[in-house]
Amino acid sequence: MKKIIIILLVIPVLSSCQDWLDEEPKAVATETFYNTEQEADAAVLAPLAKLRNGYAMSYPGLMECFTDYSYGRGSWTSNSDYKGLDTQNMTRANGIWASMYNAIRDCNIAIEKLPNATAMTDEQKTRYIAELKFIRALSYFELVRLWKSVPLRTPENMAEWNLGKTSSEDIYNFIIEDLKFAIDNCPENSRLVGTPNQNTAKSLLAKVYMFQNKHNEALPLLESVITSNKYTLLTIEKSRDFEKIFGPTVVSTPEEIFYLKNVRPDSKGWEFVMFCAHPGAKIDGKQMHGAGGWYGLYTTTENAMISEWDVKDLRKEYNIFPLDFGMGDNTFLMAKYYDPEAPNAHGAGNSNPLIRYTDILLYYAEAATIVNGKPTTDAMEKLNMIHRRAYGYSPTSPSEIDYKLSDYSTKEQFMELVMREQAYEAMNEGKRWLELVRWGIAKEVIKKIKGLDIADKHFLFPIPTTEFDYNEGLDPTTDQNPGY
Amino acid sequence: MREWLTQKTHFILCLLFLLVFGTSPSIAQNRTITGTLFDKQTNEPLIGASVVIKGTSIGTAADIDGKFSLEVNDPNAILVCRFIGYNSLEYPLNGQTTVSISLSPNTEVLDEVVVVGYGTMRKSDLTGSLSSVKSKDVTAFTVANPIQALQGRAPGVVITSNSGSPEGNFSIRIRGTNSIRGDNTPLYIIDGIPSNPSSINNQDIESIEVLKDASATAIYGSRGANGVILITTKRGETGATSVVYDGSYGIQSQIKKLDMMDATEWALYNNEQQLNDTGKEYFTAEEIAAMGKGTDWQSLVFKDAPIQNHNLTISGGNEKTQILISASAMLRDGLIPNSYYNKYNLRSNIDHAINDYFDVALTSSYARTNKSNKNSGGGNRGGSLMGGAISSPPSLSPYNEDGTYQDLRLAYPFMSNALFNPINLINEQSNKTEADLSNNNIALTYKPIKGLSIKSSFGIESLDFRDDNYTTSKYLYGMASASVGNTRQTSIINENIANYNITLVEKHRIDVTGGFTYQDYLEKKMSASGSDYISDAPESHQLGAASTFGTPSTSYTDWTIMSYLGRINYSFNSKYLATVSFRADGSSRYSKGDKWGYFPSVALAWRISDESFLKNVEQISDLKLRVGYGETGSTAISPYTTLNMLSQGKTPVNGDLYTYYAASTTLPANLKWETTAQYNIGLDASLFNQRLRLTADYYNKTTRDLLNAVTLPASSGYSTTIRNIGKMSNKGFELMVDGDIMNTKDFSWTASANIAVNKNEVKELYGGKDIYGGRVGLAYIEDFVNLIREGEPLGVFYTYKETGYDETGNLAYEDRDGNETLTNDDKYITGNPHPDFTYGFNSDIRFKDFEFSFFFQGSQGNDIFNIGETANMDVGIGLNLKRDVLYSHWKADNTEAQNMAAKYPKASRSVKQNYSDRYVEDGSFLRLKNISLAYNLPVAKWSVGNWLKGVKIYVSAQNILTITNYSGMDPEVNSWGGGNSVNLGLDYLTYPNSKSITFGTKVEF
Repeated sequence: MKKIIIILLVIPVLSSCQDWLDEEPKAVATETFYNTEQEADAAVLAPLAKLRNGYAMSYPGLMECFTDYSYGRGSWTSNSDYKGLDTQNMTRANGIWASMYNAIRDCNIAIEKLPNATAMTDEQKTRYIAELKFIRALSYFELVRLWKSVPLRTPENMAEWNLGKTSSEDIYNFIIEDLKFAIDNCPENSRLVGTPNQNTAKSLLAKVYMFQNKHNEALPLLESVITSNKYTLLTIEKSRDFEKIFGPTVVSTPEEIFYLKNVRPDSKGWEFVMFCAHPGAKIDGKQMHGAGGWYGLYTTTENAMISEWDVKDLRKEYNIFPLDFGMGDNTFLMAKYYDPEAPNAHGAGNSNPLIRYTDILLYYAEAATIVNGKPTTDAMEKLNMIHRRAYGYSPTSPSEIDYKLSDYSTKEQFMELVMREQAYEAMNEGKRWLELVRWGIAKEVIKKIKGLDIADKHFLFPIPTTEFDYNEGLDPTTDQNPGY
Repeated sequence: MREWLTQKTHFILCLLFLLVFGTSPSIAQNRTITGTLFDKQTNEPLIGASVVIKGTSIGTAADIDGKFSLEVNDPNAILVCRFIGYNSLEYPLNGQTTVSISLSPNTEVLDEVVVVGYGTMRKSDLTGSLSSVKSKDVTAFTVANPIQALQGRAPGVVITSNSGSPEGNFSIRIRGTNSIRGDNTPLYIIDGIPSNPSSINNQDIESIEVLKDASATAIYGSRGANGVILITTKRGETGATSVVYDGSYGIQSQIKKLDMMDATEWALYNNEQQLNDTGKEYFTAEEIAAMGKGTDWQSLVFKDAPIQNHNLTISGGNEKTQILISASAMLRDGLIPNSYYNKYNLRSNIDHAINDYFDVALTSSYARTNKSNKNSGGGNRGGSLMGGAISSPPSLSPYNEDGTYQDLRLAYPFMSNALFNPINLINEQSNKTEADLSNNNIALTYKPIKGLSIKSSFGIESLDFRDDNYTTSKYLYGMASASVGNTRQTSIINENIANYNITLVEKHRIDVTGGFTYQDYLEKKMSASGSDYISDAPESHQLGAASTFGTPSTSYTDWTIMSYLGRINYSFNSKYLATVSFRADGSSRYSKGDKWGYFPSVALAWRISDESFLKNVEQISDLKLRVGYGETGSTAISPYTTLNMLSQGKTPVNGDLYTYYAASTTLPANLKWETTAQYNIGLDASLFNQRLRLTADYYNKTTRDLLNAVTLPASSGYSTTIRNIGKMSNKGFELMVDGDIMNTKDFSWTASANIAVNKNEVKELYGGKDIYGGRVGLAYIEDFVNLIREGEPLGVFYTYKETGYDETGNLAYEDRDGNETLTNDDKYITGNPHPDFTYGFNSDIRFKDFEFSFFFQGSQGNDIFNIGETANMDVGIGLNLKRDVLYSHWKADNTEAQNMAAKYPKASRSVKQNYSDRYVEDGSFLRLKNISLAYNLPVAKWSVGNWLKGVKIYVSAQNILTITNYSGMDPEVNSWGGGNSVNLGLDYLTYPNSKSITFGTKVEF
């Protein structure tokens, strides 16, 4: 017995105690990752997952409150007053900022690590880096549009917390460089539904040029996407058929260029669908959203965009749903997305159509018109494809409701048509406001439709105050956006 | 490691062998001895005193007349007589058959033995600061967690109830807050082994010792910085078997309801708001006239609820073996229906002397807890159970006419879309946890020579708990869903401690302790979920029936701590005392090269009363001065914090969920130990023949290399990184006085009082920069409240100052820098959540068979930031508000004086709020924690025989009187308490505390 005790006391002294204190987590370490193709797959999905927070509700919610055709309700009401963001909506805008930068960080880490991958060919590495650069460009594009000049985080300066702003021109140049790389090196077809390919990169670059008013440079890219013949418009016979494009169980359509995908399980759905739904709304006999709804958006026949909308346009019945939820019997919910079987607020399966083929057709129509100084047959045809489809005709054959070039022969007349078609086609897709700003008509349109004035400062969000609190590279008095 | 465990197995086998064959009872009888036991001074019979024949298990207990009879086989046997509070006596029979034995009371309070780290000490030899709380105080009333019974009992131990949820949610700080990031909770040691105190029943506790200064806690090294609480459970004693039943039943009720508007008032106020904001009233005069009082949601949500505690303890033993077996049940329902916390305990403590050299002890306990949570707090605009209980419009009722739940959000167009129907949450949402905790520890002590003991113990603490959550198809806010989680935590602990106690020459006494300890903790978790079920019947027990599944998850956490420790106590003639201790701790959590921390301490004590110049002062029975210094650490970081690990998740692509790996949101960094250095000066005095006892301590401690999360700018893509960033100090003074005011046969009165002052100060921060507390985000205010600033106490309130109302009736704030925007530069320190002092006062009076006691506890000078109050200015969304809002608010047609005096701004949704001094309130309170009247039935006078030793019945009340100016539900609140040490003193929609009336009985056989 004595011996045992002596052994017990002595053993720990003799053992190599240090080994006992080594940590061996059952998890993956950064140092051993980013080597194989599967690991590169997982690395590309990381920034896509981070983007989801910003796009979940804040981004489309705020953008739609600012449109000419709809209004915010409840805590979103004040956004439709165009008097700046209140506390809660400021938090939502800050969330978009963080979400975009989280995605940028994940891109930067992987872009830095992948060149050293041990189990991939150079070609494979370049392909994944190209996909990451596309996602990084998309994130910066949102930042530069909403905040203008922002800190430019790259793999080179990742470790420096305190980083000043980079001018919007330089941010745009960085985006263009990333997208050119993506066009050259992305796979021809998406590896998975929801990852980028060459055409998504071309589409985004074209959009970036459109936002810089470089129609000349956008046009060949748009043409290249259209003539790739990878995309077509679905034919619609009745309004409910739009469910085949926007419904919760659609995996993909030939209209999809770049969508943020959603599924019902695991709260990996789209919160914006819950945001639009009302617990009392029944579409086709089914509840609009399985978990009720927050009806943060609505519109009314008092709005000219709605009252002047042709009822034969199948999009009208589909996109707005009449419901008197206490604000009168002429109010409508925004009903592009609904999911009766969404298990919870974050469980709607509808995809977020960030870039849809119709966007490209409209950009083409616009770019061709601007470049040529007047609308072309080709431009009119692209516009008509969208228009016909909306009335239940085949998108590709001429129909009786076609717009005729002779009726809209000037640039101005044609652009008016494009601008209206954009509202009806991309309604509730979070795109309208920034298009109005791009065309330079936001003030005028909002005054005309809603009778409200917009102060200049409200075309940009304020840089989050928390960014100033923790980033010493920014000076709150000189670096904040004007007016805040 | 494995090899070492094999050795350990050998050791246990040997031990079991000895257990089985080591004892050899021998019993034979032939003659009867009768006798009487009485008090040497008063000649009162000692009822229940034990008499055992030395070296055997034969024994009995004295009856109501102090008489006993016993059969012995050796006419010269020795009787061992024991009684609590008396000195034991060995009485040689020397052939007598009738004996009369008197025991002298053990008045030597100073010679009480107290438990210290890795051993025991005579209280008179203590050099460090320690508070001891006895069983009587710990068991005075039923608490869910026995640590709550310490509230107000020990100076310097501040216990704040975070919320009134039935499992007992509280924060504990010993001598202030040391760490920003650490949990600041002390180390709990139960019967020598680090373990979780929530699982034991307070009736099982013999005593609780609180080690406060570093010279006492340094022996616990890296886990000692927040103080150490040593819990000693009751153990069997040599003597006749005793059976004690102690049971109580109480009714709890809400301490205070908030005074909210009734339906008519609510409608009037809403009309005014609607008129202000939209130009027309919403309700017609007829509609308002029909409303009446409406629904009182608080009375639907908070109901009276029972609390009960039952304990049965059987103990006894002989010279070689002592056992104690206890079983208990603590059943507590919460004020919110369907919430409860039930705890069932089984315990057996066995001590056995194998022979003159070896002792073995087994401490074995099992606890089952069943908990049902209804804790949903926070959630602004009615977005939680608590929020719904306060904010639901009184014009609505929980049910529609057809009996289905009403979705309150749809009742009015202006209604908050966050509002929950609280009754729907109470009935249709369930969140239950079943936990099994077993704690088994076996210890073998070897005493090869006089004064030397070597103790080796091996323990396994295993906690296995399962969470079952589900919502039914009647849940208004989502589909039927269910999830299940299982967690398994196992701690393996080995301690090997040698102690050598020797008296060198006369007067020089040395006590040396040294050892090695090892603990490994392993946690494995798994969870699964699914939603959309056809039936509610299976609850969470048929996850497979779900239509959509969540991603299952599992996790793994492991940490190890190993330590070498040593201590030397030296005493010269009991007059000069010295203690030196040292501990080296190795923790797996820190970076390579920084894994080991070293924690020394030294303390000296001088018994002044033994000096010649005081020896003759009759009034001073004892006077001792203590000084000490020590360093301790705290493990303020989670395992794997220093490693660069990737986190895993799922994201949808391709119509399915795919796995991604991304860097964590926390940037890893190399970290070193957070260390606390503490000085302590103390004085122990005992006056007037020990009738008045006094202990005073002053301490000064500084924590350096404070670990904290440093927030990174959002544009970095990281949220935080952890750094060793600064220094914090706590200085304070503690005083404990207790005295025997009266002590006669029929009447005795003892009283004790304690007071503690602690001053916390942040000394140094990274770059001298302020650190903002966690943001308290509401829909209408998004800001932080608490601040960490050099030179200020941790977590002071840092807010704007309100300057009244502007000309539109909106709230106005002081713009300090006059730049017309409100930024952090416009804020002031407007409150301090730390109390100036905390205190307790206890009185016990015995008159004949009656006992009367009361216990007050209080806190003075702490501020509370009443976030709940902000809801009263968040108008326009239909929620109910405090009645005051209607009768005192800014109106355009008021006089200027009326508007200046108005408590609330204009009834309009254009009111813009910020956190300001408006919400800072004095949180001081004095509370009658317990008052109790007991009657000891005169069983001795009944002729029922001596099988019944005592019956006590009592009635008591808890929290029935509170003196405070605080306007919220209860001043004992800390809504962000628990894990967070910075967001202090905030009150926001927290499960309310309760008061109770209790009836109980204690029966001894």
